[in-house]
Amino acid sequence: MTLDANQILALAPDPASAKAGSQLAAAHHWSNLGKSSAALWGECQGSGKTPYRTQIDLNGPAFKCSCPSRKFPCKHGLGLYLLTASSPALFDTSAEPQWVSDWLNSRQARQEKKGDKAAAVSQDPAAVAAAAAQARKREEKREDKVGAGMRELQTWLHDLAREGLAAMRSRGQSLWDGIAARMADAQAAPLARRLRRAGNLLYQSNLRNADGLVANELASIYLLTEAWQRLDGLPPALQADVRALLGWTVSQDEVLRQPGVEGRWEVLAQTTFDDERLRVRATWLYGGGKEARWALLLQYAAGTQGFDLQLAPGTAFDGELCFYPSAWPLRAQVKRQENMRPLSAMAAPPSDLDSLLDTYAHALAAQPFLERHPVLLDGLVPDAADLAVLRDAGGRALALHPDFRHPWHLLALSGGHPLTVCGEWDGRTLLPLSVWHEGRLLNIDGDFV
Amino acid sequence: MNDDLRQRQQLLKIGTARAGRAPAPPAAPLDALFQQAPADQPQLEAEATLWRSLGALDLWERSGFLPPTGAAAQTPDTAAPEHLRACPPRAEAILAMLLRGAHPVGLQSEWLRLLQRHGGHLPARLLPRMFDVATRQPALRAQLLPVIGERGQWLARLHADWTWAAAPADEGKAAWDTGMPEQRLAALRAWRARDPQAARNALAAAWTSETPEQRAALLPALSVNLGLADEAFLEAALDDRRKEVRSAAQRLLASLPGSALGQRMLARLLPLLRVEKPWLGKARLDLSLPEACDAAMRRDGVGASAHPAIGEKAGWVVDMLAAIDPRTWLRQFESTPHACLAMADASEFRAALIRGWTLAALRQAQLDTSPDAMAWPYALARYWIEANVVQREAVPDALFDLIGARFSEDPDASTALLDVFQAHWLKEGEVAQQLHRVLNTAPDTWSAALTRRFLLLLQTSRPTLLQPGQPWIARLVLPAFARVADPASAAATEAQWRASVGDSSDWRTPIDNFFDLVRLRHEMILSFQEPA
Repeated sequence: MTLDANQILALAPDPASAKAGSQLAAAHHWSNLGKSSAALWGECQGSGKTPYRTQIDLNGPAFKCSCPSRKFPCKHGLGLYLLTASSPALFDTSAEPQWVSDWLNSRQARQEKKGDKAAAVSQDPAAVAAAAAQARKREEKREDKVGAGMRELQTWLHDLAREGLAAMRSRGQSLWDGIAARMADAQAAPLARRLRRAGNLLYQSNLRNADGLVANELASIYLLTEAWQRLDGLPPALQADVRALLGWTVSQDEVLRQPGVEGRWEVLAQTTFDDERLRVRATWLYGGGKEARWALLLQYAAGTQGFDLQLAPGTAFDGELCFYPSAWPLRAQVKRQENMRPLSAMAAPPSDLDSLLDTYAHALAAQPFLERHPVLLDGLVPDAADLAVLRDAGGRALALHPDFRHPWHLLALSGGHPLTVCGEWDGRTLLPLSVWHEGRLLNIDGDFV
Repeated sequence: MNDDLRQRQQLLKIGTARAGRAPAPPAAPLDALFQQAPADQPQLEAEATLWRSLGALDLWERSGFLPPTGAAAQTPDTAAPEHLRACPPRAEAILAMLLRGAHPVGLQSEWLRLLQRHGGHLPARLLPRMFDVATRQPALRAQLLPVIGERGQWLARLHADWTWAAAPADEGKAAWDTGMPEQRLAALRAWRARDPQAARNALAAAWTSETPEQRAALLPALSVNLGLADEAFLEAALDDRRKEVRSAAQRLLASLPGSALGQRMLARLLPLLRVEKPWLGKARLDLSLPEACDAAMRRDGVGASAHPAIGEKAGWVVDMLAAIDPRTWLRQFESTPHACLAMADASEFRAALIRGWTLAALRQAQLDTSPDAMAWPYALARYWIEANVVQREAVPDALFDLIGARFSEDPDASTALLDVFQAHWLKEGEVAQQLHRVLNTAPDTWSAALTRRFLLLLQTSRPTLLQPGQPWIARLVLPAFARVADPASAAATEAQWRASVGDSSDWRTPIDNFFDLVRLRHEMILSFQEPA
């Protein structure tokens, strides 16, 4: 199973790699091309003396190349993949050479270890106890720090309420950077980011109702500080959410130790954005077994590095996902992923506006700090007179998120007819992320050029 | 409840200290949240109440959101179904890649031509970007419009910047009557294309009520479908009070074969020209300069243009020559363009004669699409290439734009011209630049035969080309050639070129780029041959 050229290019970490990759998708750059049921490989003549050995595990897809590039996948991997999409005849089916089978075996072993590690329990009880005691001590210290930070933040917010947002605004960005830095010291990094962002929002002159948005965001942060203070009284699942929002991370291993959800998963939307120094890729999946559900995959990368796991929107795979503990579980890790293929028909059932609003109310009741809520809506027609609005069959207006940049693309795709849109709902506005159009998924990040 | 949240946001803006009142807990049922104050904190501070009520009301509002109903459900205006074929998926992917900007801009117009040939329409998701691109680059519109389909027509009507792409509902009558100046010009041009007589009559009817600026702006629209029926109107415009209107009319009449203005010019010029055939030596065209430029001559445009490095009186001759159908001279001297140029070259007023004929040939080729119209331009191009630097000055560069634009029409003449280029282009940078110009202005892919001929030209020049110090030629000519070459023929020579170019050579990169582009174009052409 291979992807088409468009989906392959979507894997590129940046436009320059996509361009370089397409240029390498020509036979004369390559020698010793071959394929098996599991992999593709070839040698690419680069600027050095020895050619680079490039290989692709088709199940992933996963890439490996002997070139020194730190981009991932590198241009050679993309070029090789594009070459097989455009000229499959160049690849003879043959036995995998040693360097390919070695890599595939090591991947296989790692995959198994991932499972094992999740199940593994340390042997020495004394060591375990000592480690647990140490961890508890560290944990208590951190809780103290965060607790102090929350009290400080409440005082700061009380001061703000007393003086007023307008007066605070005149004191400039440094005020916000100050409290953000204190939250970072208190080991509540996510709050530091949110506060800095709220401060930025206040000085964006093009934003309508910036004061209202900042007020809501700060109020939500305030509720979070109160939630921390009465953490023990909250349901355990919601405790996990509050801790995650304050910066506690759950290790990947710990997540993978949770019972997984097996089934066919559809990759329905993807968006990549910068969050301070990190690039974040958010991917929405829908699927699982009988009780199908949404899953959110968050991946982080620094600098020009690519993301470790490649999931192209508009594909489906069989596999197992493990969810982070939460009162409204969405965030997940992929434990197993195989048999990836293009998505030709969508199994995810579109919802109408009423059931979206119902589901969202339930979600907020369970997890009032919910940041992203996925939805697949059909029957939406862009309003040609007011581009900031989509209308359902009953003519009810759904406002688009102010960050949405492509209303004309939606209008072009619809031509006045209803659309099926996948996106995120925040209780007031819809941020479209992909559109199901004429039997295929168009991901707005990438397909709306 | 809704207003409650706004009021509290307002209170936050002002600050509780300034507002002078403490916020009350929100109304039922949310008030319950505020009675459960912890025991150690019996009275919530005003600020805490404010924050907590803001948070609670925001959640309340988001979880109870009801979308506003629109005005009475009006039947939405929908786009008609497409009549054109769908675009093949691989072709669509290639255009998306071109639009991401990693490739030369010229490929977009080639892609559009291929889609039109395929009989397809643009995929809807690419319409907004293509409209934006063509709004900035009007040159692309001619290729874009045939492929926007029903969806594109529909979409263009909704966007203020894209109305150029929307078909006018009443064939432009409204735009002509009441539009902005630019729209009126576009409407008039479109009208001329459909019905030249009616359009001219409409212009004539409005003529006296137009401002002089408008008259000058609108008159050039008659160049669309210009014919002798327009002559009377244009003759009258020669007496307009506005100079810009007069010169527009002069230009139009000068490019109209068989016009009275052309006849008048010929009558003025003939007594001044004489073919001298010395007993020994080559025939020569002698010119006596006109004595003066009278009012009638000025009315016809003599003396209206500036001609560099040509004297005033000789400049009048250029203006006269430029207004005469160049084929006239073939009959007059019973000769070919080539022989005419040889006679002019021997003349004392060589520059004026050559320049006059070039301008006349350029004007004629604008109206006349027959291959016949290219006899003079080809002869002039050949003359230019073989001439020396001083002689070349008389010929405007636009000549080679014309050659490039119509290079595929007459393969024999074009092949012959390539042979002339070959003899000179490596020795003279100026010739290489004109060769670049010819390649650059080609509107479409060259035929396989012409491509092979040009490759041969490159290959036979290879020993010289590959010498150090020549790569500027590669940087100039190769990228332009990569855009017009027939990709299949060019790709066939790839191995040969790569073998003859060492890894470290200056040529490595230009050759790589050349074949990358050729291959991309090849793939683009193939992508349209897949079933959609």
